Amino acid sequence: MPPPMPMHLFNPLRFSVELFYTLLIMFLCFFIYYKTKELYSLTDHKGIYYFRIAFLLLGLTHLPRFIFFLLKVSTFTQGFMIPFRSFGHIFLVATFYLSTLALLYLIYSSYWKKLNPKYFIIFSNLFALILAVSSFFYRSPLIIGFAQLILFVVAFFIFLFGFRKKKRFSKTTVLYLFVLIFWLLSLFILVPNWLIPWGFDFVLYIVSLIVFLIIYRKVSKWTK
Amino acid sequence: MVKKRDRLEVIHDILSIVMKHKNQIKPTPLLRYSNLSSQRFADYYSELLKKELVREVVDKKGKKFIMLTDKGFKFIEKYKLIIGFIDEFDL
Repeated sequence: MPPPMPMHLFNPLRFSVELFYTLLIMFLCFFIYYKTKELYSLTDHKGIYYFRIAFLLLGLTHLPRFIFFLLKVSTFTQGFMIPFRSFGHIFLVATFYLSTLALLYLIYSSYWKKLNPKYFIIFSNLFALILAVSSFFYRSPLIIGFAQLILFVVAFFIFLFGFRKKKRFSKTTVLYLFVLIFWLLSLFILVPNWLIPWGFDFVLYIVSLIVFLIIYRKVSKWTK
Repeated sequence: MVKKRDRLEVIHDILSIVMKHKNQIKPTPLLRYSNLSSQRFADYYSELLKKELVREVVDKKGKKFIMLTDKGFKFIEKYKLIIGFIDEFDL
């Protein structure tokens, strides 16, 4: 007789929340990308360009993240013969590559006048690649999440205090900071629950959605 | 000290000059009204043509005029929104 399947690991509510969150975030990001198309086509403004790319990548990055979550859950739950350890981590690599690029592009959209785009594109891709490849070897969202956190905090403050004339946080800077924080926390949700207390992930998703909705609303205001 | 106009402001000014002249102006007066050096004007002008914000028309006497395209009118119409968006997101 086969051993009983550990069905208790599969939480339908958690799965529904993940699916709903992923779809909604992707929809908001793609809509921001789409809504700003006209502004960019009229102006060719580089800041708008990097802003759009950042949200396109942010939308895309939630897809491999969700597939990673799905594979993890199905491996634990159903005992499927999914070679999770090698197959699943490909999606983790994609998640890290796309998210690192997205967050760097978002920061760069405010500072494109200060730094040569050529250097930025080389640096950001290299940086994203190193983190993504590292995630393949470490196979832990936690370690890479912390690496992303440290590097982004450093990058953020270098840009903020090195390049800005106004040495204060604008509303948008605060929103970007929230996007960064909630993205990193959403990565930590992928690791065992000892890091994020039970139920906290739902609150996190709701607040994260609110941040994206505020950005979406701000974009809509200027793209009538 | 007078603040130097940024790229979008210059484009908006050039397009507005064309519109104020009943959407038909010769290149030389446009250069004069735009307050730009010949070189900078030439750069902006070729950019406007390339982006299809303006077009050149030649009348029966062979005189060249500059006119706004639909995209050019749209730029003027949306200019405040564009600037608002750029300011809002620190772009």
